[in-house]
Amino acid sequence: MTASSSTTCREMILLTQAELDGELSAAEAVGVAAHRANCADCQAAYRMIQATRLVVRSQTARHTMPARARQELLARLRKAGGLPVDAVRQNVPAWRRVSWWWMGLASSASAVMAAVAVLLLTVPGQRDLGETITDAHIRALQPGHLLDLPSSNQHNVMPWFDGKIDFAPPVKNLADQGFPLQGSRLDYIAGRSAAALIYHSQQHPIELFVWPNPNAADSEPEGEVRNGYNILHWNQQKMSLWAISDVSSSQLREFVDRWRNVP
Amino acid sequence: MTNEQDPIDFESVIVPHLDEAYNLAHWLMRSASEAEDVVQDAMLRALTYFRTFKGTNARAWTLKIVRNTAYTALRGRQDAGVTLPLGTDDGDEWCFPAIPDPAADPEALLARVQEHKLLETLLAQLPVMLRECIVLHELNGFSYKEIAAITDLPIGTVMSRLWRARQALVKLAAGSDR
Repeated sequence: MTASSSTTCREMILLTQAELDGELSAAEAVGVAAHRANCADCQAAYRMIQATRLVVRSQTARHTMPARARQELLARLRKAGGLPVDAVRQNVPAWRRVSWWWMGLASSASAVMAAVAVLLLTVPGQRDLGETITDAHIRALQPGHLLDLPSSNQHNVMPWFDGKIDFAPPVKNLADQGFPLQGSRLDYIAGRSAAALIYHSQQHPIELFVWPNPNAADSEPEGEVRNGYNILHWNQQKMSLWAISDVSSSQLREFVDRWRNVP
Repeated sequence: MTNEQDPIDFESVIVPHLDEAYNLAHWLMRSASEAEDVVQDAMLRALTYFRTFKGTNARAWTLKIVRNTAYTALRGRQDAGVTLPLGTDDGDEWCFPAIPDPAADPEALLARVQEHKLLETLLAQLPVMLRECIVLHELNGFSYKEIAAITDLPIGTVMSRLWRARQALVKLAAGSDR
């Protein structure tokens, strides 16, 4: 314990932690790793941090706001002038939504506008989803962030999601078609929990974000490019799916086509 | 709408972070009903102060309000656990011989935690100031810089709290093992 009682080692431990947390540049990380090669304390710290990262990320539940509380809150925000009426629509049957609105209504002119608003509903924040997905993907590419559960077996991945999210994501393995499953992660996309499935294509990660979208009809994949990443988005079996990767657009398209066709 | 707020903006900018807001509140309060109250208060506050929001990092901005609201609620509690029980607040007094025992086997210890699904219980036992760093970093995926902004702490303090939180988890895991 000679080197360990110096300030330097204390700082090195925090830097080791920063390295594992994806906070260091590649050059800085090299320096920290070089020190660690000869420092038993930092090696012990490294293992300890690594182990806690893994267990916390894979074992901790994301608490989701109960639908009732969510609706109450949105209603209060609307009353306080913060939301347009359609924000309360979630999980409320259409007929109730309309009658609720009519009952609470003061002016009939705004009633007409509200009716129009209900007809023109779009998924909140839909226009920003591509950006949100890209941000989530880039964040996940930081060292140690991509996988909560490294596993190439969909029979491990599927139960892993149990109790962590409120839906069962479709987990498919395309190993025999050149896109082996690497594992899974939980993420938040546009304020709700999403499953992220990670595949590989010739050393490039392809990330597939999935969350339920009960009102969506099946749709053909639509593509976009953000920050150099190719994105394909489609709906399938009441799920919203977003695939993102730095592979070429044709390769991503191939992945998506194969994924959609696996039962 | 006669209100001066721009309701469309509040909805598209702040409301998407509702689930994360609730998750943080739940982890800080350790109670579903109190988490609901906190989120409710926080979102109404956010609406009030929305005008002061400068348009960068709405997630961090929202969660900062949630965090402050939760702390206010915790201070009103008897068993607040808001102050660190270790005698000193960490500031710079980072108790030194805190280097992990190289002979310890954190992987095995935490594998057992995993097997018996103890993690949430252990995490709940951490002082809230340590717990929030873990939750913000590992569950919400915030960077050190963002956590520093949310908690109004210097980055160095965030780093040492995160480290202490992880150490405390391993220590609690060792304790629960006996």
